[in-house]
Amino acid sequence: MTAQLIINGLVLSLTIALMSAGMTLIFGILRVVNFAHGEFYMFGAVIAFFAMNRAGMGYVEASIMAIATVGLLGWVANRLVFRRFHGKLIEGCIAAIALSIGFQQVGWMIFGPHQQILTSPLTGSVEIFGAIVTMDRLLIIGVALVVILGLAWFINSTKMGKAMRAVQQDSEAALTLGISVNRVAGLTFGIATALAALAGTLVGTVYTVYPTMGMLPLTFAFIVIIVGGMGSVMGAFIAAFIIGFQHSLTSTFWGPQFALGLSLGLAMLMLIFRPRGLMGHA
Amino acid sequence: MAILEVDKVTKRFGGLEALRDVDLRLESGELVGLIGPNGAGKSTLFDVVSGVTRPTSGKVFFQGEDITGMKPHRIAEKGLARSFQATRLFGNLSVLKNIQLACHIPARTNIAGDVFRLPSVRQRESEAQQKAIDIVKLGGLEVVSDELAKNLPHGYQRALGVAIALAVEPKLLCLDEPVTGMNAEETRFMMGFIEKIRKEGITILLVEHHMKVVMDICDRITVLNFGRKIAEGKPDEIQGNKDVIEAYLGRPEDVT
Amino acid sequence: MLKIMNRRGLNWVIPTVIGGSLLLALPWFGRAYYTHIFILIFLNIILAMGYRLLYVTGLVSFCHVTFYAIGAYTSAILAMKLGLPFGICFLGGGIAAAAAAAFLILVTSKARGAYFFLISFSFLGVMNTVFMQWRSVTGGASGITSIPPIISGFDTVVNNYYIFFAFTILTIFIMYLLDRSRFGSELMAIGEAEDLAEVIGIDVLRHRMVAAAIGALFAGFAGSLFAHYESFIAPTSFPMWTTIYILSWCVIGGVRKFWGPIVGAVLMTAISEYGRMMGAMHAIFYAAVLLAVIMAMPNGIVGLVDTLRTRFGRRQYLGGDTKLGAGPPPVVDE
Repeated sequence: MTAQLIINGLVLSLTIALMSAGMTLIFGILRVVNFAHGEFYMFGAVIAFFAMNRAGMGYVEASIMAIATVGLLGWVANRLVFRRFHGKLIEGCIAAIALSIGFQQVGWMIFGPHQQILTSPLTGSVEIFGAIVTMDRLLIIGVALVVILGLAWFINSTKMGKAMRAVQQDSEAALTLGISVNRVAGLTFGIATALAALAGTLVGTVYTVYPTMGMLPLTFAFIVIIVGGMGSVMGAFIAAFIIGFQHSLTSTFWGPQFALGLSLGLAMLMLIFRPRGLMGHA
Repeated sequence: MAILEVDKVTKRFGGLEALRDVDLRLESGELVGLIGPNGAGKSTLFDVVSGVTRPTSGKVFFQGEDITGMKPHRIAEKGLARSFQATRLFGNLSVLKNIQLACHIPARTNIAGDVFRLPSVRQRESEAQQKAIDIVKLGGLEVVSDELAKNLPHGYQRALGVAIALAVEPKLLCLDEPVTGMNAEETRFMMGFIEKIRKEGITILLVEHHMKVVMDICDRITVLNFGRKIAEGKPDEIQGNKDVIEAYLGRPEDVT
Repeated sequence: MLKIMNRRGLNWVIPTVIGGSLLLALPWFGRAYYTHIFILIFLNIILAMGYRLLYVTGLVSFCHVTFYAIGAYTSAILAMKLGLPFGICFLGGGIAAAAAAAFLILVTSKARGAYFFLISFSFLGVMNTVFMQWRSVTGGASGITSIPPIISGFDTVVNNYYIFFAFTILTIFIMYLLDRSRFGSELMAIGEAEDLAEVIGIDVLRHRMVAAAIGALFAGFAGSLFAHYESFIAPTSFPMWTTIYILSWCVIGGVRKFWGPIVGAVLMTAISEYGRMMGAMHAIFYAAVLLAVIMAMPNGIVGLVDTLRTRFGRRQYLGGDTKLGAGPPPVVDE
């Protein structure tokens, strides 16, 4: 029972971490609240599904294709729509909402209303600490963990990662240092949406795929970036674990609705008493 | 009784000390200049005096009353008005509308009376409208009264900033760099404007970089550097003061 | 100046009278379906106009639908559990919503723009959980049924239509009074330059609380009317999408004038209904319109009208007909 809780908590936390890392990057660097982030997550799962079931690809290839496609889509979305709203919060938000509505509808149209599932490449189960754990969940945990560590390395150690942090702190100063803010913005959006798509392809193996599947992860992502501090990737990671485990635990005893309400209440309290979150800048 | 008393005010922003133990005293009717190199803390002092920021320590007294940490709108009600260093206007509204809005305090409306046009409020409101027109004329803004504030040339914008502060019916007016970016013609006008304000009996605290203006019109001058007061006195005393000259790294270019 | 005011007045009187008469006559020559749609449009207008009040002060909230819901639930609960007459329930709904809004503004007074948006988003979620979980009071997911009508014995669609119509007219009138008052101008000033507003003596926090309270008051009233009209409410009656729509009506219609949200609400509800005939594409169509407007006309339709008016209209200067660019201001010497 406990092991099951822990595994579920891990799965939830890690997938939320993927979602919210991207979203907090978009907010920190572009000052845009990406209301459509859930739809990029959904597209990841949907494209992978079609790649596997129509084009006969294996899971790994299908996922890679889906992630790359969605990353590109995110880059294009920034180029065509969001670029003009950098720093303009309300307008950017509304544009994101418009995209969200449109994307969801596109999802409806190409996927249909029936929930489907992505077949995981790993089957069977394994025994850990006396509990039965399914391999597909382990896959999610493994992949997500690797990617998250990779992201942390990327932001801290590479030149582009440093450029991103520079733009987040002061985009004008970054310009004077020769950093192409537009390029950083495009790349940020691409990476963020790719992360969301990855979360989608992972979760699609364990839970079902459907056009509005992005709404709940979006809500979680909002909560996490609030609690973690908007713009802080490290804060998002920590908060993702707090919220993920809180949700797993509470929903077992009092149902998912109540658990969500609790998380939202936490977010509200955080915003009232410490608006910059756990690790955000003032 | 001094109209304004700043008593050992210190302001820290995290690790940065913007003001340190600053004392300042203004008598009613004076025109006092506040000068110092960039970053000396002049605008921060304004923010503390007008209630925009709370000092880390120290007190501010206005007409004998402790106004430390009071909210800006209450301080404005007491008769202290200020203009901003970076032009702050209601950009999408006309010049006249800007000043009408600034007559908020003289209009003394309450919300219900205002919305339902009750007679008690209507009288005061029409007086306020007249007052707004007077101020437009005083500020030489009739020519542009219907223009949107954001479309005004720089000189007019600064004049509007001062006019807005004037509409508050202040006893003390704090002007933050009113002639910055103005040409000689506009600067002359602003000086005339300030003189007119002074003749009304309004005390003025003036921050400026334009040394000729400061030396010409101020009764007294206080000098800040790195958040501390380094000198105070009459214009000719300040001009010859070694510390002041050093603070500016050589002679200020406009001092005669 | 008087001449221009009269001409402007005339511009509005004739279309309003014509429009008003058409609306009054609608239930008699339209199908019942259309009457119901118009009731929804009236509700949307009230919600959008109320939302605008806080929006112009620079606070974009995401929970206006929650105030609507609070009004509906309060009214329904007062009627069902305490058997109170409609009038009391109606007032109760409005007051509960207004109090919630004022309280929200008060506790979030330190929050900046984006944060307030997110706080209100969280508030929406928290209240939704309350509505779902507090089964004993709110009926949980099943909601509340058999809510008594607005006026018993008078409960046909047509009669309710006139009640909604009357209340909408009242709301529009009050919003008009607010818009042209000093208070209304001050709200817009706060949205323009908050710190300037503070130093000229405007109590920004209090103004925002009043604006939020009035907006929520009308949302609460609308919720009450809705609950007693439909006679059934549940958490699904107040989806998050409604709050998004309210925001989009204000954006599209524009908020610089009080009638912007009316245009936005009517236009987008009409497009939504028309789009329904287009089948699956209607959401895409709606999204496309929203995107196009925010990218090309950030000030909405009101902004568009204003721009046209400035291009082709006349100006009035205090100093007579002197043109701009007549040189530096005259030196004042006395």
